[in-house]
Amino acid sequence: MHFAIPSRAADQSLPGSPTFKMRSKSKNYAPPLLSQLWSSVFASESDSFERKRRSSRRSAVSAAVLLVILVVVAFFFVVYFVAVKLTSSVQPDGPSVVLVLGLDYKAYKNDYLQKIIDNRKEYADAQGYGLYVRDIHDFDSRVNDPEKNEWKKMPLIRAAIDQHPRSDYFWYLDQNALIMNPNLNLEEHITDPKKLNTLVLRDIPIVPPDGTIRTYRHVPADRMKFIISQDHEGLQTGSFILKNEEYSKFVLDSWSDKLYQEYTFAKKDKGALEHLAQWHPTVLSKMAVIPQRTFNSYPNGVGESLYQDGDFVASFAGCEAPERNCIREFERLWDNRGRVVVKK
Amino acid sequence: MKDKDDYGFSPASPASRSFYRLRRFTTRLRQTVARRRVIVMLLAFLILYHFVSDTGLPLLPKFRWGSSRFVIILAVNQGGGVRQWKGAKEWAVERTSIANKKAYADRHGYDLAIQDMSIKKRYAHEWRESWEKVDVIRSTMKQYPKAEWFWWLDLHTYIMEPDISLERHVFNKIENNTYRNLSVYNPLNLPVSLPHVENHHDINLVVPQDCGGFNLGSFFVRRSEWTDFLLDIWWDPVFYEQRHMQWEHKEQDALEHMYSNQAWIRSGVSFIPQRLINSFPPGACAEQAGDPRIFYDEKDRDFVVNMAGCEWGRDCFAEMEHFQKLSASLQTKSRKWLPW
Repeated sequence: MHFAIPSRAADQSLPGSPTFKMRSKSKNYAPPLLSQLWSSVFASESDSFERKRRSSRRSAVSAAVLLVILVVVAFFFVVYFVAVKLTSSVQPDGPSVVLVLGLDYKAYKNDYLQKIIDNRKEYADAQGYGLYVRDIHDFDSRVNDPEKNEWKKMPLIRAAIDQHPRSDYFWYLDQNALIMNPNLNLEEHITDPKKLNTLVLRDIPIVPPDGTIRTYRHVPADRMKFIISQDHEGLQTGSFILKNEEYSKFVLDSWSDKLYQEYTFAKKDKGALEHLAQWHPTVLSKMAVIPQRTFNSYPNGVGESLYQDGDFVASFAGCEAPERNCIREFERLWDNRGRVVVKK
Repeated sequence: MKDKDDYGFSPASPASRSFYRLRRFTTRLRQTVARRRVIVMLLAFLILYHFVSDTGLPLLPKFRWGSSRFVIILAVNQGGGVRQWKGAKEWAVERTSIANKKAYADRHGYDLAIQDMSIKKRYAHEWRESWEKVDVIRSTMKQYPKAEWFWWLDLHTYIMEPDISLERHVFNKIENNTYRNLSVYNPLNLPVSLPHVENHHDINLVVPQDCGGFNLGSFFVRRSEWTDFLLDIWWDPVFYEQRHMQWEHKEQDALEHMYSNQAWIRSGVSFIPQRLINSFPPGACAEQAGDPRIFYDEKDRDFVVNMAGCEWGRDCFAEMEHFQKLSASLQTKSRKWLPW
């Protein structure tokens, strides 16, 4: 018998037909690993009831697991926020400005010093600032010559920074100075960068009248970290503001270095600071020299330094000189000082 | 020779011939990759490891894209032949040292800055612009603005174990590998504590101590604001005028002075055990022979040898040769295949 159509077995020898075995027909076909895994995990039994019961049990279990995880996460969140609230209430942020005052209990009477403290306190309370008061003789061991009080202000300010690590500005004001206008807010009056930009004196000699090294012309005020003034003799260190940053620690430590104290600068610590500013641009670049009457007027000064009504601070430092009299100068200023205007 | 493609006839023009050759090549490549999957994946993994990891594979130089995080500053031409004649031996020592650092830097993809330390008038006694190391570090920091750590190496040093990477050796666990507290090791008897030192300040200067104090022959300095202050204040005319006659080691003594007196410096300085980056040969610190903290030990495969002071009384050439041979033999004997 002849068959019209050739048998299946002969398929493979037809021209143009593929010479490989077709996948689906091979006996040794094994599905790849992934699809095996897939089918073993997700293959459903033929019994639909079994499938429903298993799947509902599985979904109940997974729902329970999810719930437990959610509870644990919620627990951690709650604990974290409570902890943050607790710690933030225990350690407050700190006042933005701290006044630093060093008092000489050996040379001055207690009632005089108490009045100075009252003056600072009035200002600090009115403006919400901190006040750090120490006996200057606490720092006798930290300087080369305990007789020289001017070198003790650097360790004093360092101690103030340690005590108020979260404050922004530290204003050192000499003991022999009075805040005459306690209504002036320090940020608005001096330290706010926009205000500071209007106050900074650019391109003036560090050592007047014709020193070679001059203050920088183009450094923006928001980068200034050391605010100080100068009179006709040079930089005046009776009143200056430092920002709480690495720079200030570097300046305070290097300014009060033993070798500077030994060097016998004619102007003592003022001379050391001028030397530092002239020789080290990292110091000078962040130093802002502002007009003296901003925060360091002299009641017995001349010209630009002369105290006028409404000035912020009157400084009678240097009154230890024999021709002057600290108590008398103080009394005159004390009676004329401005008081806090209580805003209703 | 005729080009036959798969269908048994050759194409007409040379252009289409090369086109077909290219297609054939890419097809063969694709087929090889498909057939030898395992080997190809292994090769891809090795290549990726070489480029992505810190150190890469041994024996292969590592090409780094862009600039490195680490710069090695090698101080060469010390004195510039002004005070002493530079003979063949001095040149040989210099060549060896430079080649050694170059190979190391290439191996790990670090940058190498070879800085000339010849005597300049501005550093002479009466000109008061001394401490040339400080100026060199400052100018190198300007040259490599993206680098973070700078490793200063004197000329008479030799890197004995080139497979050790700085990341693994020191910097990945810098707080553990270095110590800040002088009570651990205080050869100079400096005051152990100062007020106002910050214990968790960033580490910006990593310095080893030898038998006589800080050793600035091999140390690390980091780019930071603190470092800018240090490099500025390190040399000061008042310090110089009062102390330069006593400070034989110039920058080193100035740093020791500042470390003893200024709290902000202490906050940023950390000490590294000497044998991690600055082992001495038996000739240096000879009074302390036998001290396990100072001298190079073959068994421990110390990283770097610093032949400090070999130009005074010892033979730099012989020592350099010795350590070069020793390093080569140690590498062939038991190569550190894995960088840890």
